[in-house]
Amino acid sequence: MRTLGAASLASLLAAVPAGAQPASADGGWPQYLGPARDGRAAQAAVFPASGPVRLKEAWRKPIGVAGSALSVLGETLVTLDSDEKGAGAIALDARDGSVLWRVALDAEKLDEDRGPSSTPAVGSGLAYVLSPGCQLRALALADGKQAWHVDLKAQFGANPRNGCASSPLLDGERLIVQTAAPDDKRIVALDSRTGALQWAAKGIARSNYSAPGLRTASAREVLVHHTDITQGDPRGGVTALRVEDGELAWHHTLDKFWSWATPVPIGADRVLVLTWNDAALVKAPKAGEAASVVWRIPAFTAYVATPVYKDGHLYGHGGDYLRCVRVSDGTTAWEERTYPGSVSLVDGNLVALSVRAGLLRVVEATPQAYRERAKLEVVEPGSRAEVSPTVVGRRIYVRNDEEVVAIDVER
Amino acid sequence: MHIHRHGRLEAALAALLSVGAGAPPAGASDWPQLWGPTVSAAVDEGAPPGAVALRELWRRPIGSGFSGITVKGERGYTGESDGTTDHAIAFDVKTGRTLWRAPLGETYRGHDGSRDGPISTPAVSAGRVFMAGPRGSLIALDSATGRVLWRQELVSEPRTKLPHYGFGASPIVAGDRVVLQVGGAEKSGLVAYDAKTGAVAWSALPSETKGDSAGYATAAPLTLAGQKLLVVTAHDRVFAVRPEDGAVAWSHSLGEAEEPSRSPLVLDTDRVLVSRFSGSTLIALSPDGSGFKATESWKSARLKGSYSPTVHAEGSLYGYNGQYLTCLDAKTGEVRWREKTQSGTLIRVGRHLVVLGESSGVLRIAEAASTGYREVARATAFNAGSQSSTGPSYADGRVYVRNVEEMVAFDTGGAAKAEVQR
Repeated sequence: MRTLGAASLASLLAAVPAGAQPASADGGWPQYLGPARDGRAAQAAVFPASGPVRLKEAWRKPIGVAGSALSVLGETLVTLDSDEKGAGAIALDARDGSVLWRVALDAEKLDEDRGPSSTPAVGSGLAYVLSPGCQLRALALADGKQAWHVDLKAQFGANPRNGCASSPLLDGERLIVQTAAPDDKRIVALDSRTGALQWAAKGIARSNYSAPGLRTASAREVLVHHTDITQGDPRGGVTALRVEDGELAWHHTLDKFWSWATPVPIGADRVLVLTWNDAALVKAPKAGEAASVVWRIPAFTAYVATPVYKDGHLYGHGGDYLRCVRVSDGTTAWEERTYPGSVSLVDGNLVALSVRAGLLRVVEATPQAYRERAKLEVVEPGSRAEVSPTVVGRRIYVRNDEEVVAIDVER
Repeated sequence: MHIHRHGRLEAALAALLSVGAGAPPAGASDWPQLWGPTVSAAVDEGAPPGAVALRELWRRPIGSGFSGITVKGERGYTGESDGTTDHAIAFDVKTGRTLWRAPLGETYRGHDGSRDGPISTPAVSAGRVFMAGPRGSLIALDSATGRVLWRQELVSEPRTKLPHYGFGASPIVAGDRVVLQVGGAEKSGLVAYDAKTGAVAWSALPSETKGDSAGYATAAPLTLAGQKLLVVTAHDRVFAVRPEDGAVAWSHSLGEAEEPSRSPLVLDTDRVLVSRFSGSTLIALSPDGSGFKATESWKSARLKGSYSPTVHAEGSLYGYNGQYLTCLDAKTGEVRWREKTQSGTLIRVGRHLVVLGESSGVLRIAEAASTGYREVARATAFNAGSQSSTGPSYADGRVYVRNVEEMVAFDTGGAAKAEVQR
C-alpha cells in the first residue's frame, strides 16, 4: 500500500468533486475509465510540478487483438485478447509484463479483426470478464480459476447483433452489468461475490454497447446511455437508476442521439453525454423537477473515451482536436490538432493517447493554453490503440491491437 | 574489372530497350476516373524492376473531402471543401497549383465519423469533367476552364435517395454516356446521362434496396464475348448492362441486400470479383443461349472489412482484410500470404503495389508477388493519425495521394529515368 503525505492527500481530495467518495490510492485502475469511471486517476505526485516530463518504456508484451482496455489491481493487469480460437481473458504481471494466466472465453460473435471490446473490472481478488458471447465470469485474480458464471443470454435474453461489448461496473460488492437484452433486464445488478441477482431495471430504453456510468454526488446512481437507431431518426438519452434497487431516479431524452459512450458525472449535479457528433451537458434534477440540457456543442465527440473534468473545465477529444471547454457556457478555451484520441486525468495533467498515431502525450490540464510536457511514440503509427491510458502510481499502461506497453514517468 | 564494365553496359542497354520496345512508354498513361483506366485500380506499366523509389515532387494543403484524384495529361482533378462550399478543382500536375474551382454546393458536413466535403471522384473524358457532389448534384465541366456545361439534380428524381453519408458514387464514362449508380427506397442500379447534354439516356434498376439508399459503388467496364458491358455491384445483385441502351446482359443474385460500396473487379474476360461487407465472391461467366450464365467459383471471408480495392496480377489477388494485406490464389480463393500492415488502400502499378496507410500517413511500394510481402520503398505522405481513406492514383510515373488536409505527388523513379534516356 502506498502511503500518502498530508500534502498529497489534500491534493487528492481537491481533485474529486464535492460529495464523491475518493477511491483509495491503492485501488489501482480497476475498471473501464478508472476507479470512479470518469477517466480520473486518484493518485497525486506523479509528475514533477513544472517543466518537461520524461517518459521511459518499462516493458512491452505482444497480445492478441482486442479493443479491451487495461484494468490493474495490485500487481496484476487484466484485459481481454483473442487468438484463432476466440476471445480470452489474460492477466499480466504489471511489474514486467509476464503472463500470469490466460482463460479462453468463447468463440461466439467474435469480430476477428477487432477482437473483444469489453474491459474487465477487478476487485476483491476477482476479475469480472464479459465475452462477446455474453458470458459473464468472475475469475480469481491469482490464477484465473472461475469463481462464478452467469449466462446473460440464458438468464436475461441478451443477444446484441455484434456481441456483448459493454464493460461491467464494479461498485463495492455490486457488479452492474448492461446486458444488451432486447426488453426488460437491460441493466442488472449482481452480487460481485456470488453472481446472484440483486435487481433488474424495468422499462428503460435500448442500450446495446455502452458501459454504465456512476454518479456519487448527491445520490448514488447508475447512469445509462441509450441509443435506439431502429426507429429511423436516432433517439436516446440518459437514465439514472438508484444503485440500491435499480428504481428510476430521472431520465432525459435527446434527438439525433447515437453512440455507445458512457455518461460521466460533472461536478455535483451535471452529467456529460456524448454522441458521434456532439456532446450535451445535462442538469440532473432535484426531486420533483425535470432534467434539462445546459448546452449541446460539437467540440467533443464520442469515440474511445470520454472527456475528463477538472476545476470547471472539460478536456477531451472532438474529431481531430484535443480541446479544453468551459463547463459554464460550453465555449472552447483552447484546441490543438493531435488527431483522435483518448485522455485520462492524472495529478493535474492529461495523459493523452492518439488512438491511430501511436503517440502518448502529457499535457498540463489548464484552461490557459495547450502546454505539452511530453510526447513519445509508444506503438506503431497507424495501428489501432482504441483505449484510454491506464495510470497507476508513476506507471502508464496502453495497448494497441498487438501489444501492451508500460511507460514510466521518470523522476 | 573488364567483366564488371561489360555488365554495366548490358544493364544500361537493357534499360533502354525495355523503354523503347517491350514496356509501354512512360508518359502515355492517364488515370481518368476512380480506380484508373479500367476501374481495376491497376495499370500495366510502371518503373522497371530495381528502379522504384518515392521522391516527393510537391505538397500542398487541400480542403476536406474523400474524392480521389483523376489525371488527364497535364491536369489533375479532385474535390474539396473550402469550409463553406464544396468544389471540384483542377490542378497542375507539375506543381499542384489550383487551375480552377467549380462550386458543387454548400459543404456537406461530416457526421457519425465521416468528414466534410465531397466523396465522389471526378471522371474526365473528351474535354469534360463529370463530378457528383455529396448533396446529389451531377455536373459536367469544361476540363480547361471549369465552366459548367450542364447540371443534373440526382435527388430530384424519385428513384434516388441520398445515402446516410452523402452521395458518394463516382461516374464512369462509356462512349457518349456518363453512368452513375443510383438507388431509392425500392430499386437501385445505374442511370446514364448523355455526356454532351446531360439528358437521361436510360436507367436500369434491377436491384431491390429494402429501404436503403443509392450506395457508393462505381461501375466497371467488362468485355464479354466481344460485347462491351458495364458491371456493377448493387444491393442484392451484381449485374451488367450494355452502355448504349442499359439492357441487362446478365444478373446474379448475392442474397441479402446491403448498401454497395465497392466496384466489382474484372479479372479478365470472364471472371468478376464481388466484394461485400462479409467477404468476397468470384463469379465466372459463360455464354448461355443468347445471354450469359453466372456461376460462383468460390467465396472467401479473407477479403472483407475494407474500402480498398482488390487488385489482380498473374493469378493472384491482393487486397485488404481488415488490418491485413492479403494475397489469394485467384483460381481457388486460398490465402497465399497475409501481412499485418495496418489498414490501407492499394493500387497496382505494373509489378508493384502502391499502398497508402489509412492513418499511419505512410505510403509504401511493395512487390506484387505471390511468394510473400516485400516492401521496396516507403515515404511519409501525411501526419500520423490523420485520416487518409482516399486511395492513391498513378499517371505518367507519378503517384498522387491526398487526405483531408494535404495533397502530395511522388515520382516513382522509373519515369524520371526514362526521360533522361530519351
